[in-house]
Amino acid sequence: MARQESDLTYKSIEELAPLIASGELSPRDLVQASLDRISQLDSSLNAFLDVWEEESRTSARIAEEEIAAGRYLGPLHGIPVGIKDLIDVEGTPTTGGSKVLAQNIAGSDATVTAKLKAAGAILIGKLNLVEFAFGTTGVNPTTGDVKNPWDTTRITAGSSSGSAAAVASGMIPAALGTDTGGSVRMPAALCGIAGLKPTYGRVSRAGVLDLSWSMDHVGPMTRTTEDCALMMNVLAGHDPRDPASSSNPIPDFTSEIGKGIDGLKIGIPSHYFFDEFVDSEVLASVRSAINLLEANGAEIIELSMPWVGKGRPINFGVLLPEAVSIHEKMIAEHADLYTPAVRARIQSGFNVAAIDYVRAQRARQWFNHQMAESMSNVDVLITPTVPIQAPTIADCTPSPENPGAGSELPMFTGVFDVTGQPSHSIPCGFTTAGMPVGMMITGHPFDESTVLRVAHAFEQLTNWHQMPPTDIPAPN
Amino acid sequence: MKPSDNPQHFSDRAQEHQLVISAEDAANIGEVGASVASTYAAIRQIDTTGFEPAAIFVPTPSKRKDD
Repeated sequence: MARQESDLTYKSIEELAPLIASGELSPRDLVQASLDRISQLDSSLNAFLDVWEEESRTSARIAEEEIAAGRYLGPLHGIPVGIKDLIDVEGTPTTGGSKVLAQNIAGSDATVTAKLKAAGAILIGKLNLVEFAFGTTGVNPTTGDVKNPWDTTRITAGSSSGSAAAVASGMIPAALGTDTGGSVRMPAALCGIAGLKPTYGRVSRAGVLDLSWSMDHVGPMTRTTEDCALMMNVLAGHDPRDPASSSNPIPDFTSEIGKGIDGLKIGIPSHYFFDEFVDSEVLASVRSAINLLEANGAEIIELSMPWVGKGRPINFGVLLPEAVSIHEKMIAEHADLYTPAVRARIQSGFNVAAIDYVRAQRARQWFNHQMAESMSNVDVLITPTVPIQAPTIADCTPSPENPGAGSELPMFTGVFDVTGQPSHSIPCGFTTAGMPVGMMITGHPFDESTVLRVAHAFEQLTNWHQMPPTDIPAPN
Repeated sequence: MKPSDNPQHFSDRAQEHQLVISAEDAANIGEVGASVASTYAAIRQIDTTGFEPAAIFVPTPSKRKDD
């Protein structure tokens, strides 16, 4: 069942922006619709940590006045956007979903926050997450677990759990997430939305709590690929506040999105991503999607990548010592305020030898070389986003008997945090249990445009991205 | 048993490096510690001959202020 056109809260930015620009839709009405949907659902989904009702109404009124006065700022003007609570918004708490930072008030905006404000977006509130983004499931004993709108007994995945649930359930059309091992793409996949991890350095990390300096990414989460492109047009760009920020030219991410896939070469890894350990229903959906792209003009090329399974160990091997270093002072002073599972993850890295970290960084360079060689004759890779179906929250609640809960989730996504390539998840089908399946499209560094072009073409051929979640009530 | 598998030794070694951890926490790391060990074991198997670390320092150009 495709969503109903009358549902304002399920409309995409590409649908809403022309209505706002023309004055047909008031930002005040749109923001109120978002607030109503949040009020209707969030007591059950737990996506938001903080909702800024009065501030967002004020911002919407100002947006309406600016637009009426002929000062329309572009497609995000008047659009409600949620912010993962890892990202600074001046004058509001940035807690990282942890008791440790419960009193941490941001002194200034993160660069991405400032860019959204300058584009006229209405910041609607802070979104729930895994504590300090150090986890994959969306389970957080401090802030409460985020529920999957497709089945509220199941996880959203994480760490951008609130971002995915809020967008998927129609509370907001767009949110910011962060991705170090897959934290944008995994929850996008399990909640049936689009989530883009841009090329490392493409979007500033300034004002965002760190997890791993050399692999942290900020990216958009929306209901369509075109909306991710619209968000990227605002978010991307060099930032002197971020030492890893790239000076590469910034394209218009929407300019090539409608060019189709005729003649594009899509690489399909013959190792790892399609192996027997991957859930059969996930494999069937992704293979069906690949067949559809081939039938519509793409050339499919099988790629031998026997080394690619090393990507996830390298991802974790680089991440862990960097996370330990970032948390060293806080965990010494406030160990009792961390949740036990996250404390154990950080402390488990205390005795990693320096030589092992250097080995991991050398292995990363080796891995990047292998990936560039393998992709030299294709435009993008297509793989499943996660290898399993969404588990239940009960199955993912850490316990002494189940310390590795959720460890399979980042097996595929973490590979592309190592390489820093642009990598995008979109829905490509459903399991027999009615849960969304995600397909991951990964491109060459700084070539988000081709990734978005392939994903957009797929969305024009299917309506998976238009399905409304089935375990939540329709909008009032 | 390697020293790092023993909670007290783990705690002692961490504290030598000014990383504070209780022996109880060290004992509770358990399976997570095993996962960390297997991660670096997998990385050690990679032949990285000829590859420098991915994170290389690049100096930022600067000069005397009154130049």
